[in-house]
Amino acid sequence: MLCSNCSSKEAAFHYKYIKNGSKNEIHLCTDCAKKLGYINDGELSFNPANIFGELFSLPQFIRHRAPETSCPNCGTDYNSLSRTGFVGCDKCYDFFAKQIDAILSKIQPSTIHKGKLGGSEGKKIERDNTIKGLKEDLQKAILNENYEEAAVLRDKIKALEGEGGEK
Amino acid sequence: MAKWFEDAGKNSDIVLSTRIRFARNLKGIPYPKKMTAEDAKRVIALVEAALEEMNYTFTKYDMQKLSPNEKERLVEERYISPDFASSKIPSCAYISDDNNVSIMVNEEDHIRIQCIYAGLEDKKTYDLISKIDTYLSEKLDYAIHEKYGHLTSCLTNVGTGMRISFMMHLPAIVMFKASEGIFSAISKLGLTVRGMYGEGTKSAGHLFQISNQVTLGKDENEIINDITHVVEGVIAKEKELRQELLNQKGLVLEDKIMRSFGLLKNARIMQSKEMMNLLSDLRLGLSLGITQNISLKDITRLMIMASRAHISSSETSDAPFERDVERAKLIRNTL
Repeated sequence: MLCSNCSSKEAAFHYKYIKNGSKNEIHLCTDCAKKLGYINDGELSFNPANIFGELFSLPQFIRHRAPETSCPNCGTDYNSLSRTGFVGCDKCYDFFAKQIDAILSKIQPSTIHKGKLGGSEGKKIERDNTIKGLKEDLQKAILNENYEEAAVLRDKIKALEGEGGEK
Repeated sequence: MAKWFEDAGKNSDIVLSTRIRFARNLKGIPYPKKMTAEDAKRVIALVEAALEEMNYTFTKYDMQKLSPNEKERLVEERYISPDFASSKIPSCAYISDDNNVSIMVNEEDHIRIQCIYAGLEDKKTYDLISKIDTYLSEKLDYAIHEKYGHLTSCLTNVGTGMRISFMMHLPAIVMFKASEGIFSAISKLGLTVRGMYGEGTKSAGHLFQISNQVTLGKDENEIINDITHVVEGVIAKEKELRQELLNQKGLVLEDKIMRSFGLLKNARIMQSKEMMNLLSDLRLGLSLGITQNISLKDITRLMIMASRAHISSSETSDAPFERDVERAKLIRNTL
């Protein structure tokens, strides 16, 4: 089959997709596929298998400077992570911290979890976050010379810190 | 207790089901795509021990012991995912005896908790899944991150790990060719719409699934309120267009629905896709008072009970023709 763009070379890139409810196909030679931005240095620049489409395709600078390394714990490499959006273990979140943060900030409205956590560790995180917020409020209250409120906040912080048995 | 497809809930004439799932992982164990069989067995043992102490009874389905047909039935009833049915590592599903909860162990994540109810039941569904999750979070060591919350195998689930989806019947929206505009507006709101059967908007039976994409940065209630608000808008539009359809096409519509009823009632050979489309007409007819001889529950039940694996006995499992004959018989006996 010939490339549907230049009609001179053999098509090497075949892509089926659904747009507005109807099926479409694209057949391109490698040069045209590159030129039209479907592939990037011989590698797919998006993941057609994923229903979220191009969400995982990262800004170019991150792609190119990505380290050619794998997670020491599970062996997941950055290429497969950026192509599929899958990590292999908890450690990947530390190992690819920067790249994961970039992907998450692209596909989610914020990168800070707001929902429930549960469990003893979850409760500790929730408590730490509450204390952090209260300490900020305390600073503001002191700056505004609102000492009554500051006293209440200080007591709350003390009580919460006491619960944790540390700090 | 009745399964979701044998039951009806709020707005069942348009919303067939509300489903919520939570994705959870255990700390320190590689995720299913990277885990060894030993890891997988360990996760099963941990989850099972936690469930045994729970004041809620489950039945265990070991994926390595079930026959392909038994697994496919669970997929058709939406208690497990198709990927899970073909899992290569040790994996088990636990389905609650009241049929509202299923827990898949070693699917894409170590634990996938799912609750499902008939109708538009976001609160009820969330309350139940949240209760089960809170219980498990105290018994198991979940993989959580101080910034990202729940860690998941796929980055699209990080945070709440929650996906809520509504299965909706939208024949009038499709007939008025309004689906494209509505669906593209919905997808701009961070939600996904897809056909339940078949690809794209050409869904058999006019069934669509609307679900959230956002899992991080909003809490569970915000995500649920956002999507429910949209779903209620879609319900209102569908209702309005159904009425419009009745006003504009009265007798023609009635004729179409009664013909579909006639086919279902009399056919001797019935393929699955044809059944889905005819049942869609019947469901629409029922909601507009054109047909009365069947209930919404029976239509949904038929949809599942006449699907491929349910209709197959061990002898007919590889014989499509026999299946179509069996399907036609089941429909005739139900109507």
